[in-house]
Amino acid sequence: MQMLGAGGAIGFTAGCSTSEETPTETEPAGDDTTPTPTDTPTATPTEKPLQQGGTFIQGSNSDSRAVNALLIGDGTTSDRVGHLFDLGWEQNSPAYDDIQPYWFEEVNIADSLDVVELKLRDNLEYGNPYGQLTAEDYLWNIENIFTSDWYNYTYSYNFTVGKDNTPIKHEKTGKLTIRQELPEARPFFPYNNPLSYVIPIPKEIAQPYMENEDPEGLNQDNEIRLSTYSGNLGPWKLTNYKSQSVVSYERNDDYYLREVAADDDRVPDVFAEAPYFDNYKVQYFSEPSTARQALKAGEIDTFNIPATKLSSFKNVDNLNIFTNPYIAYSDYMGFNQRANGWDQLRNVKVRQALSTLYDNEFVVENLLNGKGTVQDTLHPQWGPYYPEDGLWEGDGKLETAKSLLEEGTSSEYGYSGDTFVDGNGEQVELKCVYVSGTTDDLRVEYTKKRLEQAGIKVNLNSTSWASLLTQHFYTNQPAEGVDDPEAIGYGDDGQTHPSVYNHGPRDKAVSTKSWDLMHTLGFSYGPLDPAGTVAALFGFKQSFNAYGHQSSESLIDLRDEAKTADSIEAAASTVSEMMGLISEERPVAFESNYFDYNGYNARVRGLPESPAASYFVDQDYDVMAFEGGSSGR
Amino acid sequence: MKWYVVKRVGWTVVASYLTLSAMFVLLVMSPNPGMMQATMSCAAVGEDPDQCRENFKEQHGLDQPVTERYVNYMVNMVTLNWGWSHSRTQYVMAAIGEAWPYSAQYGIPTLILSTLIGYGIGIYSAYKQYSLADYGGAFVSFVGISIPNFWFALVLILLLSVWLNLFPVYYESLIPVEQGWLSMANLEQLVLPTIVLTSSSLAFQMRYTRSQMLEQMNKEFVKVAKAKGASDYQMLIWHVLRMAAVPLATSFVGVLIGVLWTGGIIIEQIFSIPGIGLMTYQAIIQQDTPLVLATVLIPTFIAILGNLFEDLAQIWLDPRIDYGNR
Repeated sequence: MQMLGAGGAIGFTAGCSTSEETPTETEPAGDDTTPTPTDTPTATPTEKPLQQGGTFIQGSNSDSRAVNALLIGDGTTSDRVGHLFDLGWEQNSPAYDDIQPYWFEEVNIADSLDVVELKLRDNLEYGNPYGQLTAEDYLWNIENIFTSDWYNYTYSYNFTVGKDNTPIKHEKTGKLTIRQELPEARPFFPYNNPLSYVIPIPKEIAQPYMENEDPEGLNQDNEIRLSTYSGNLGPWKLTNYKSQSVVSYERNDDYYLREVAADDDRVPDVFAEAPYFDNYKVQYFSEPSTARQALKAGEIDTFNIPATKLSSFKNVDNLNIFTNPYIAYSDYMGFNQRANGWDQLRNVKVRQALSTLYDNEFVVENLLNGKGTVQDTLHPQWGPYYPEDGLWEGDGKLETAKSLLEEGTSSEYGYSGDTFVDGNGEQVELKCVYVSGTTDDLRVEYTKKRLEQAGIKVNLNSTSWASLLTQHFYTNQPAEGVDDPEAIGYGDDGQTHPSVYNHGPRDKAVSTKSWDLMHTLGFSYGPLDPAGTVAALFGFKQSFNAYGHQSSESLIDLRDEAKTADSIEAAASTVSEMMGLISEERPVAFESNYFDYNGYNARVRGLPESPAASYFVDQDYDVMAFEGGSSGR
Repeated sequence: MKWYVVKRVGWTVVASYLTLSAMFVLLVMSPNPGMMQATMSCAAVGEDPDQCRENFKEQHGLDQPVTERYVNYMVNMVTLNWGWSHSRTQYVMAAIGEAWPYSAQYGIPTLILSTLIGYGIGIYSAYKQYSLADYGGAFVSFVGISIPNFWFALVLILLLSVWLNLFPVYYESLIPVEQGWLSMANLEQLVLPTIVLTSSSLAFQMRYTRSQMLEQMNKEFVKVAKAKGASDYQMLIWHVLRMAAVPLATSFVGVLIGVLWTGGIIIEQIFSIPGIGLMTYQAIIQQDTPLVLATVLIPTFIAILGNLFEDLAQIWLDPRIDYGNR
């Protein structure tokens, strides 16, 4: 998988579509289970007591930037750091109070949704000589690092809210208590609360760099690079870090959660002895096929398996496959509505016609072999905001598509026999760009076949991932005939550029190379804040609207309405409206989200039930163990 | 002769400068995945991606004018202050110092093996031209040249590691640290990378040696040596090989660079060896400018200086060669 996405956030991705092998018919145990709603609490079933021992090796095809807690904006680094630090808390479901408390034992959200009061546990210790982690550490880090001008912390923007970037007030109300105050009620804020994931670093380490305003020095400090101050704050201690190779940990016997598990009902009992492996390694593989072979040979204990590779694991005895249908990702076929795309793509009925031809149910069933879920909007069916009704669904019929095409295009277009022709009597030709990979090759062939059945010729254009982004998805070039090529942005002076993807209005700013249809590029996101996701991708003047889509209603106004509603319930109808709107307008031909598969050494115990019961189910290595305490290697 | 050496060293500087400049321009023009990722994170909560992009640029020194960045890098290169690698979060010199032993431990054996075996089979093939052994050698060499390294490596992994369980699938970098560089466990995991890399460089050396030997074997001095009663061994080693060695020596640096940098990039990716090749590849795709420039500079110097030494070595191998006042 090629991926540009940001951990826990949103981003463009080439999903399972870039896998290299043909989709297979292999069905791991329980694979056909239909995903269920998301409000199932996290569960980590354990049949008998887990035994300690062994070295667990996880394969990974991404490398971290050391183990620096200040660089958690990078998803891989965040993962490696996450083994040393537990963070604040995690949501178990969309319900605000359904949390798994880690460092904060209390997170109380006022009914008015503008105040949050938090309380830290009293047994949190940095490594010597930095002492206890207290509210003071949070406040000092917020003021002097996270929101400072000199450091440029990745998530600094999460300490402000609203269009005006109003700061969230943080106040220390006791040694272990913090009060957050928002300028107004914001029902989605609890899902993005920065205190749930930021890691305060000891003031004693950071202060000299802060006084000298030396961010590079801070990042290059070995205590920061390798998080040597992690103390009892996480389940593991770092033993070795080799860039582009391996990160190695050993069990942290002082782990604070072990003593907490006995008293706090919200912390599962299994944490009383966690973690269970003696050692834990994350082995980096630049070539995923090597990692898959290592998994088969039993040299590593877990690795991600693309759906298209499942068949080769069918007869491997010593492996279990964990299936996760809850991937917050949308695969779709993009439409270029900018000036260098087919101008008729700006008409809703034309996009509906092409969406009808590109039948998402057929794609999921036949091209993905059922290893995905159909979507008719920018949200997974299992997500909390997927409308039960009000979505536009194509019927997949050729005749429907043809009549939509005739109704949607301007008068000079029409059918000449079975051929769809323009005003000059020439057959309409569309250019489809994509990155070659087994499932995307199938997708584009299907697109070509279906559109040609409707009388439209499709020219396929395979390119690289980098070219897809920079030559086709960057829109920083002037459109043909633009008077002032230096002023292709928004605003009177044409100098407002939301991003390189949306560099200006669709009649002025276009990509370097023309295109009409695009495969491979999908979108990943967190499912709990869909209003922000929809607006960012399809909203006018929004950062990722490279498609040049202009909705009939302001998605920005709808987003703001949802984000400042009195409650989640009050926001839900607005979100539902947004979902229905983009479903009908089809800024892209919505397709599906794929299923995720991970292979595990069969001796590993403590895995959640497969397939995962909800989006919130985690594959938590901290509560896994080997059968008999040994990996069998 | 001295003037020739001075001119060649001067050319080394010019060539290095041009190479570094070209790489810098390419990197500046390329998209930056890290920056894209930073902006995407911002959009997750509907915040300002431009601000995040600026933050990223500032953090990575990309907010400076291109000319300033260019001058800084050039000055740093000359003063051996090769900077901080943001992809590895360590100093460039430290990164290279950490990575090169991993490449050398399979690169040096590959170089020795491919040279000895390649020259040996090449000489024998030439001596036994059109024999079964010659055809066998030709087959081996064409297979070595034709089979892509990455494919051959994957086949060996499947066959010898997964099915027969003879060698490890991937390279565990902590084994040399914990058990020693010469430990059996470490040597075992170097077998497959060495075989793969040797197969391709051996094939080239073998074909080249054979053709050079054949060319020399038809010369008049060989007939004279035979007429004087030289044995086959004397004729091959003392007369023919000595003359063939002159052009063969010119291929050595190419093979060295091919093995350690070009071949290394593929081999190290497949076997997960944290050496120079993998480091170079990652530096390029992550646009880690200081590291890219450093990894380009080293093979450039090796190529240019190596060629100079090769030219000088030819004088030693063939006293008739004289660069005089060139």
